[in-house]
Amino acid sequence: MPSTASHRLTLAQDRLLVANDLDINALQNGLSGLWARGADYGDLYFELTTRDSWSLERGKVARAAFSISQGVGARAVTDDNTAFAYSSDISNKSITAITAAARAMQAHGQDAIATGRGVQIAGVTRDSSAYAGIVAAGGMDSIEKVALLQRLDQMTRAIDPRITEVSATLSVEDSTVLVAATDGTLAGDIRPLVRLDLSVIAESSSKRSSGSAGAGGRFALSEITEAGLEKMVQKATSIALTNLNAKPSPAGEMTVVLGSGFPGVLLHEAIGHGLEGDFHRKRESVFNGLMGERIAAPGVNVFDDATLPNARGSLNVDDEGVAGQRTLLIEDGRLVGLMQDKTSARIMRDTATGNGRRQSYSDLPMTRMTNTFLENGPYDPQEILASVRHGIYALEFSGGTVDITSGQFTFSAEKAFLIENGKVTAPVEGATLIGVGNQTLKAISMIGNDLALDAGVAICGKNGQMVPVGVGQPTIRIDNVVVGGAAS
Amino acid sequence: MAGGDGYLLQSESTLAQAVAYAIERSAALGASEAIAMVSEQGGITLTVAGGKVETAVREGNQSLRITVYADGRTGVASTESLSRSAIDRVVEQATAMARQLEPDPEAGLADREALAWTTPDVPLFAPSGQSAEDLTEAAMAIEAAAISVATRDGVRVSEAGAASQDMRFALATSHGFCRTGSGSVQRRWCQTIAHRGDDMRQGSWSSVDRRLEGLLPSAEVGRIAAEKALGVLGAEGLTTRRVPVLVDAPVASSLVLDMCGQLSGASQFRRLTFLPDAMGQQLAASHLTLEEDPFEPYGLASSTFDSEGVPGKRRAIVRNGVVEGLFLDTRMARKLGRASTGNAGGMRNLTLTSTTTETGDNLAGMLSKLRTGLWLTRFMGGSSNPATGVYSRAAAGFWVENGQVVRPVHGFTVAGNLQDMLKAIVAVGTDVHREGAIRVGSILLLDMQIAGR
Repeated sequence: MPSTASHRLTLAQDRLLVANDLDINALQNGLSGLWARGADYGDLYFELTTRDSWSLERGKVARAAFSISQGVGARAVTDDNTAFAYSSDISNKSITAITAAARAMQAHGQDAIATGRGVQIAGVTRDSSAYAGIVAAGGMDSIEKVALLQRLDQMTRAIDPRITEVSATLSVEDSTVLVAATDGTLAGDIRPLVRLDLSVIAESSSKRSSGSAGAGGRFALSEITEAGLEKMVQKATSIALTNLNAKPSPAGEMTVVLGSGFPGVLLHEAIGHGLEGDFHRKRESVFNGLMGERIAAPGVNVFDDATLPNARGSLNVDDEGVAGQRTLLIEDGRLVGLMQDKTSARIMRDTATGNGRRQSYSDLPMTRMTNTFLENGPYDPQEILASVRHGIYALEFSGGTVDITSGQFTFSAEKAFLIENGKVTAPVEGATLIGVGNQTLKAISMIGNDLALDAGVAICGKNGQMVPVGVGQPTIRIDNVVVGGAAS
Repeated sequence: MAGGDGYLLQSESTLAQAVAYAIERSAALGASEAIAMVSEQGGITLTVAGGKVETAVREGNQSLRITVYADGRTGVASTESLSRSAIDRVVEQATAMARQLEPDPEAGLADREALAWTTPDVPLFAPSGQSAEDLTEAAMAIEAAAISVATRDGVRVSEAGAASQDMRFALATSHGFCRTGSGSVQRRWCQTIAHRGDDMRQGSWSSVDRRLEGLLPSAEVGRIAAEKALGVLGAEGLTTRRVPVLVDAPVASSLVLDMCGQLSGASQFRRLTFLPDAMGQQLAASHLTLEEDPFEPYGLASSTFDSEGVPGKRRAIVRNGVVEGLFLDTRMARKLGRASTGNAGGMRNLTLTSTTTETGDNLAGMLSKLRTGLWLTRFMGGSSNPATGVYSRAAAGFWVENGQVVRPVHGFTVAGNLQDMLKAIVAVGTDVHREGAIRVGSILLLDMQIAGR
């Protein structure tokens, strides 16, 4: 089992170079061809991704899909000008064609002449070793995958007769990537990714409601346990059943307690995107120029961490060949770090932090988060709830968005309750939380000691590119949040 | 770059050969039925900022997807390589997976007589022949127009872009159907940032059309994007209250999407809707009609036939507020005991109209009808729950008094329940905007809950 950086690199070279009759010389020639006059940087990114998915609906697994995606992308960067071309064919011929196309695109359509500067690349010897280079199915064959979904279906239906519809999807992905760059980088990664999604509908005489849950990460499918399935089932059914009795959420400014785990999407939206290097390079972020300043309440510590073992957002190396790392973004409420890709780091004279990510070989890398979370604080979650006289307790969210320029963010609760005199009472639906990132972070008044990451299903979109991420936090109390609901 | 094939490398006949081969292989491996689609996209996307090219991308994708059916057991596989060996591999994979599944009697090819054997082609292909230099020039012109908008506040462009793309496909089924098609899309866009002191605001505008001559002039795209950002500088909050809301035409399409979401085959079959058994039921106010046209020449969502080979129909989805049509593919249609509506792969061009709309109902007229309330010009996230209709979204816009715009407002949510909201629409303006493939004027709602501070 390839468990070191050099093992992973060897395996990636076997799958992407040797299998296509290519060698290191072909990479060096390609990079040399890409490095047109004046270019600061160029890279070649090879990818082979296979994915199979299995869907259960109305108790039956009647549909399965398999896809294979492979190709190579060539990028040339001068200052902040990026030219890019790609091909789904991995061969000497295609490398020559796309490097010439990228060179031509960089000259705004006029063909530029390659300078033929020589490039020497060498394998990286260290990466974050956040996950092993295993096969994601973990030895489970088609029959076992179908059986897993059927088991999940049975467990879900057994919970309550009001659960009327159950659907589930299992997705198993194996991705192999190889990056070679004019700065001498040669890095490879083997990235397993499994994901299980469950969605249910509950129906009473007067109302229908839905609920969902998932589980996943960079580990073998065979490691999903009965207890793990049980947790998913409980979560999805409890959201749907709770919402059968939910009343419209109150509207207005109030105290909000957010549960641990996925509600950390608040951090992701409210500040995470605003601390991505490319938004600072382009002066688009509301946090631009605030390095060292207080942007959150004392006691708030936020990390982006690609090294968490087997987490969905983890990376051994990023898509620019930089080792995944743990980056402190906010320390005791002060902004102390940004996430950087190579281009933004070079222009801002900063260091790349292993946050250069791309959706696929046919997309350009950008600064992206990995696993972003708020560190534990001192309070017991019960103590936090007991401290609130009137407010909302939100445990599950369907997602969120942010306008990084104004800092305004929004996220939508999927399971929430009223808090009255320190007690959690009636369920409410349609609660949308809005705010401005730095103001909201300054309004965090209590931080719990129950840090958890989401269940391994978060996905982040930026400029149309989707990448798997992790979000997390302990239970927190935020004062004076605007809650949008339909009740007056 | 000019020429009959635009940015494409493969001819329609080459693509047709690839799908024919995939169908042939699936039959050889014992699949009782199969359908294969192959497509190629090519183009150039240019973005500029600060008078310089920021990204220049030459696109070129292709992929083949085969679906095999064995007694309704459905195996799907796709590949980006069109080599014989890659096609062999995915067809084998699809067939092998299908064997492990359970039968679904409703899954399978569309009925032979439902297919678009000889229907006329809808014109969609209009290759621009634009080079990277042409697109750079267009993007530069957009940026120049944006920054030349003169005010006492600053405005800059975070990205101005121009793109031109062509696509081509071939679709074949094991009952001998094989047709091809080609299409084009041209795009122009601009994202701006306006600033006054510490206050920074985003604005954006875009234009999308299949034909170059259908695009808004570059100078207009830049100017509108700049004005959008400048107009919201100094926005203030709104306190919690109930108010009438005029949803601006460019964002009103989201309400049409919420409406259509109720009528998809999946939501009707899974009952993930507040209106199960929707046909014949009242969904919206009785003055509203929603029509679908799959055949509009150069329409953004036009299609001669859907991804199963079934042609759509010009039809009313909702007439006088009552549901007359659903969006069904073959499988969902069979499960609901109906016929496919040719919507495998999505909804086509949609238009929402009201019988109450009068000539004077342009934007100014609609603001007068609103009198005092919120002119909502931007949604900023939030959700609507299809099963319950619970609706709550963050928004921004302008506060209006006596039909006059008073000031920009932000930092609040609008909430209600779609079941009531769609029936409570009182007017639709003549200020029709096409967003994506949806045409609708501004929409007036008389009573929405605002939450703010």
